[in-house]
Amino acid sequence: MNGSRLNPNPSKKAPGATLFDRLPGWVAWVPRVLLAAVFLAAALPKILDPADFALAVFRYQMLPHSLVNLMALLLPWVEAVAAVALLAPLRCRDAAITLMTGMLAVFTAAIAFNLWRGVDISCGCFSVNPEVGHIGALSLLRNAGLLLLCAWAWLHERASAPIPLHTHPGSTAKA
Amino acid sequence: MKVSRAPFFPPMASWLGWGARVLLLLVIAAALGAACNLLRSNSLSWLGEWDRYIEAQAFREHFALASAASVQAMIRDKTHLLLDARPYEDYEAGHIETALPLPVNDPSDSWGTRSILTPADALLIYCSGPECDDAIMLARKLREQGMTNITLFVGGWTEWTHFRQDNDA
Repeated sequence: MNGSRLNPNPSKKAPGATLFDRLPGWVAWVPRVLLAAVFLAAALPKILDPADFALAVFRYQMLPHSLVNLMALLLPWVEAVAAVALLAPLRCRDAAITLMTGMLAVFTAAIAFNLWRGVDISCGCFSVNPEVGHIGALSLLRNAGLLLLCAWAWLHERASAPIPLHTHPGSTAKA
Repeated sequence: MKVSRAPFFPPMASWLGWGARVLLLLVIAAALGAACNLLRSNSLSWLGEWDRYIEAQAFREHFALASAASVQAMIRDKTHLLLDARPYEDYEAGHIETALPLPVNDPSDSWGTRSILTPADALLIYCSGPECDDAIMLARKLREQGMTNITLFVGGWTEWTHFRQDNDA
């Protein structure tokens, strides 16, 4: 991968990294496990019942009608794949965090927009039942908390990233 | 010795690898979603027919449907009790003449509308427009409570305002 191409010693951690480099290794797993659990819990009911999730997407009244089913069929799998990639021993964690952050940003914007225009609908976040989990300020707060977890996980990824060659101490390579 | 640290944002050279990994996860998710839908016995069509979803649902559930012109006739002849299923704020901002508010998601019934309903009433229910399903959800609830004569105005407040503008012009 990139790191091993750029860095002669990819196992070496970034020197000078402060807080996140000094924390014990398991601390990095706290946001990863929490985010993965939340995204898997969100994905499962949608994967099991795509028709009801399509109705939840439709009720947001934000997508062109031709894209509603496409979104209902693909989005839960993006959530599930990102959750698994965040826990898997692959170098895809940064990509998983990126996807999670992007999805959370879109979900938060959609909820805020519907709250602003007074549309009272169920969130469709962890259940596809139209009678439960209506959107509200709590949904926004929950998403803000999850975005903070994404930032926490991202900081750990950057702290444990191999040093690129041009920033490595003693390197003569030009940036 | 001057030390360096990994930057918060990766350098330009590693963006390509990062983008490729994001794309890889998206491709895996799309492949799994497509495969799962193909294998499912009740698979969902990729392009849903949502343009007339509420009307189709109402037809399937045997609710009568009304046009704006027939709503006007109902108001004139006083044959139906009109119910507005939107939130109170929307009702207060504007509603069809003679309609009473009964928001589907507000159990408080602060206007006391629910208390005056009887099973013999002929009801006409509407919400904001063709994409809103508050009216059909309220219709289902009222049917469960014994109301049998229920008509839906799927066009709702949006169609009604256009209808009035066209007729007043």
